[in-house]
Amino acid sequence: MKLQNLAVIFVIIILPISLVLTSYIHSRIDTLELQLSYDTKLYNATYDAIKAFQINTIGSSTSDLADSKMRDLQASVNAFFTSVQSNFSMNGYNKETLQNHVPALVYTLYDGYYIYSPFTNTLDEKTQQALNVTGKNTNDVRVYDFKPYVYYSCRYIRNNIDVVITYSLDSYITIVGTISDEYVNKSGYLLSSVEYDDNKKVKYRGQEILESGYETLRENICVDGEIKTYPYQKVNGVKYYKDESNGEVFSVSNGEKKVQIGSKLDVIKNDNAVLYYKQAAELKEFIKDKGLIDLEAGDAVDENGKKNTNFVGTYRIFGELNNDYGDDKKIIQIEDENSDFNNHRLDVIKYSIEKNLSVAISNFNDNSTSTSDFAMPKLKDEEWSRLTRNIGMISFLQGLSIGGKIYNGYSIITNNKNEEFVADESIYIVTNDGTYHNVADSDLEGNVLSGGVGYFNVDFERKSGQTTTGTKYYYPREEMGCYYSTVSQSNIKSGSIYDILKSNAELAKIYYTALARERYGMYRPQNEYENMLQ
Amino acid sequence: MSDTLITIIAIALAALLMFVSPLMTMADRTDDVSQIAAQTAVTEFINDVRTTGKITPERYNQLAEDLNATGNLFDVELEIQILDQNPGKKGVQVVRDKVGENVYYTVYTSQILEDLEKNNQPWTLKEGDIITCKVKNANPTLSQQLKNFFYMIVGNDTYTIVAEDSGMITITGVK
Repeated sequence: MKLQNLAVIFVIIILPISLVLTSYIHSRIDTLELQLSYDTKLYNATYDAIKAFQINTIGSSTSDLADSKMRDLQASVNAFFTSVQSNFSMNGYNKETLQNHVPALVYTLYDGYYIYSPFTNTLDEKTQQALNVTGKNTNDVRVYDFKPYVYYSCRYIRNNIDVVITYSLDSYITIVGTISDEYVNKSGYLLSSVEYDDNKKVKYRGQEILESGYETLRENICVDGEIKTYPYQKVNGVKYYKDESNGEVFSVSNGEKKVQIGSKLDVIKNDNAVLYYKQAAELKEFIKDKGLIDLEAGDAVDENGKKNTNFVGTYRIFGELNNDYGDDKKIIQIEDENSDFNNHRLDVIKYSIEKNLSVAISNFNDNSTSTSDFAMPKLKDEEWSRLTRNIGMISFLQGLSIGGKIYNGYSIITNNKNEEFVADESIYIVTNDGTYHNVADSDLEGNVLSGGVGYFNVDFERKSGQTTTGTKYYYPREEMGCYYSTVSQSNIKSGSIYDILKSNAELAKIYYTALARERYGMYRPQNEYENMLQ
Repeated sequence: MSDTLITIIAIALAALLMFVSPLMTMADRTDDVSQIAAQTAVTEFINDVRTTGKITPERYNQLAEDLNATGNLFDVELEIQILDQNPGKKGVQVVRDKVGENVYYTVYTSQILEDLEKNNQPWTLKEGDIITCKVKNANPTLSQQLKNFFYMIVGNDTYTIVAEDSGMITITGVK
């Protein structure tokens, strides 16, 4: 056979193979590229939703109340779907169509979470007639909405103890149940080295907190059309201000002054920080007195009262509560990130979300009109760790065709600037040079700290108010951000905040006071609100 | 023309068809695969930074390893636009009582790597900052070399593998 013939045969064989291979590789590349771009778009849409939630909660004075929170979450869901529409070039598709590809949205909040997914509305005929409901509120209609709030809770049975403990994103817990047939209901922050004596003296991690017993804080607020500075105290999620000219105590709702007639709250003497440690000391005593300190992770039971095999281990959940505090870094405090309590808390949160979410996603297959099968992806440990440290959102987007493959993605976005939760890093320190700093700022040493006060980072966010001349923007706190530590984040010490504070007593006092004050001022459904206002 | 000349031309053509053409095709496909691998590495890196609010030395090294796994050397360019949230820092002052107008300033690769590599410290970012990562091949790929050899179209400065991604930071990072 001639060489030319060989060449022709070679071309006949190789050319189609080469063409097919090229086209196949190109299609795979297109698919992968599309998948990557969808991942990014999903991140963007989820961030838009979280941002909407953040803006709404910071801008609203009632955002922590259940009704208001639900409204903010609905707005956040709408932001998500609008963002999906525009990001995925699905303009013209309405929310209902897109919902067929979103098996669930999960909002992980301070002490529990909401799952937004479809379910069948159930309403008996009598109630339906009485309520005179129509449309999606009627019986047997498939609706997309938030399912009831689920707490991060777990039941424990040990000897005479039968309690349900609700965890949160920090060391705040609520214990409800019976101990020796006595009903108990107690909540507060778990702190190892807290001391509180009858003279209202507080010591935490070796530092005496708020020696005077109170502090006076002032901030700008837009009230009745004017932006003015008033002293304030935050109680159960609401800031109360005092007009020093007439002694009037008031709160502000939608820019209007709500005078608290007969209020005994001394706003000028803000003692939130002391009360926080007092509550923690009481909880510590309670846990020790009632024998809860011996509770082990293995005592956890499931809904049927049988041993929960997901929580094994003989370590004591509250065992570290008795730990002393000293220079020895090895002594773990219960509120530390590496404590047994914290590990168990993460396990409970993870177990609870995983269990409910997988049910929601598998139910989605029954409800969805989409032809693809939806499955719960396995979240990585690092992602769980992020979710259990800050409020966040998990979004799922599945069933979109990306050329030879069906897209199956999820994204997790967390956020540490919101009214829901005071994280360790949410406290900024205002120094006497009129700037606010990150706690880990290397320059926070010596004289600059004299007269320093810590504040919640949300208080440095811009707010708007209606004045007589129209909408005006203002900052509750007027200090400027430190360029090194808050703007560029460059001059920051690495390591845990608590380790940094060990070598800086002055800063530790300021920080522990601010963290305590801001956490105590948060809205908690368990708070005995009436007593707090006395 | 003599038979000898035709044979020589035929051999040259056959060599071109049987060796060079498949080689170039395969080299092109290898570049395609490297391209998608680089794009995946960059997108994952950006998404990680966006959702954690920090660039750790470990995460940056992982990006470098992922890129090296393609068999090429890459030139990595990082750019971070840092949001200056301080009020009163305004570009053009249109309304006198307007507050909170934000400006960005930028830091580049060498500044970021100084912290990551020399100090072995994470680079923390805050919510609202914008990060961009761009990688391009630093060595000529086989496909580039062959093309340069045969038709001298592609210059040495032209990159065949370029991947880029950017995004806004969604959470303030903690060291």
